[in-house]
Amino acid sequence: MSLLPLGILGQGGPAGGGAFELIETQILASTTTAVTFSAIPTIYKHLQIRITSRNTTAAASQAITLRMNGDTGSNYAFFHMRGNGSGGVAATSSSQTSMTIGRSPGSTEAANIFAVGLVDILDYGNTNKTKSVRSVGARYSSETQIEQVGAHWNSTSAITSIEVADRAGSTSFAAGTRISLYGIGG
Amino acid sequence: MPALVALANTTLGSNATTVTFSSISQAYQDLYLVVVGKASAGYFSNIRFNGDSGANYNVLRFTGTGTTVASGVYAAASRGLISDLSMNSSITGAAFVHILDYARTDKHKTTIGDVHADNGYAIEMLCNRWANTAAITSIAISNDAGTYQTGTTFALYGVRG
Repeated sequence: MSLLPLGILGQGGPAGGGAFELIETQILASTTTAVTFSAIPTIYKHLQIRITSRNTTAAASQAITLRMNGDTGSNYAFFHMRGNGSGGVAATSSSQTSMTIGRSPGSTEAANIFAVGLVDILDYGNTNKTKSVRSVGARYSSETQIEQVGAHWNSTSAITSIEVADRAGSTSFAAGTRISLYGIGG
Repeated sequence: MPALVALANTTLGSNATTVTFSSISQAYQDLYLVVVGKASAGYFSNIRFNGDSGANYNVLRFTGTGTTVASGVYAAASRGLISDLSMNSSITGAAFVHILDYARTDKHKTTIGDVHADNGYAIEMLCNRWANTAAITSIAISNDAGTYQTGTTFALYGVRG
């Protein structure tokens, strides 16, 4: 489900040495198109983003997207398997300019409903690998979905910044959206 | 500073139907619940918050059995679910539940988790939305038709934010 079990094993460890540690939390006080975590420490093995989100679009939902190191090229791919309350579906998208790792409920959904998501970014500092991301997320609303997403950034660069955006910044997260970044030692 | 903190851990010394975590600290961003063990019988492992037994829980499941996948909902239910896979006394099962923003009073409480438990060798993802903005101060986990067996563990963690 998530990398947290590794965090359990390392909960008492030193910084970057097996621990699960908070790097930064942002709780939005107003509508915001994107949150960027910059100057990410290199002392961890993996990263985890934890999200509760909602967006301001007059629609049932909108995509939550990631971009690494400010890269807006067509270097992202993602694929999901999803349960929608009546069956399962799967789909893939390649050569994209951002990766979709989940969806937030829009303003047409009842107040106080937020999506939840956990995003694991593996070996983010390893320059011998292109970067793999795994996400799980869900929301129970008029467009009910629970899903697991695998995503890929086709770059071997170490990840130093991550943009978490509402539809790549073309729409906005609602106030109250919370996005946290954690480091997992290894 | 470690972001994951053990809050409570219960290992059953005798069979029990329900385990409750009360007076949960409000100092964390998220909660993480791990249940590992066996049950005498029962199809559902239920979860309730703050003692609420009203029709305020909405459950979404996504299940794979090895040959098929299925998804379904339980709307306006009187309890949430951390597992709707059958459990028995011979196979250990495990459920992992993330409860995000549990102390925030501007959001319904939504959980996401998975479970691998059962004599049918299934795996499942589960989402619960508790239609209440109250901060969660207690969590009860119960078996609907049997008892959790001696040795079953229930661990609750806080995630700093």
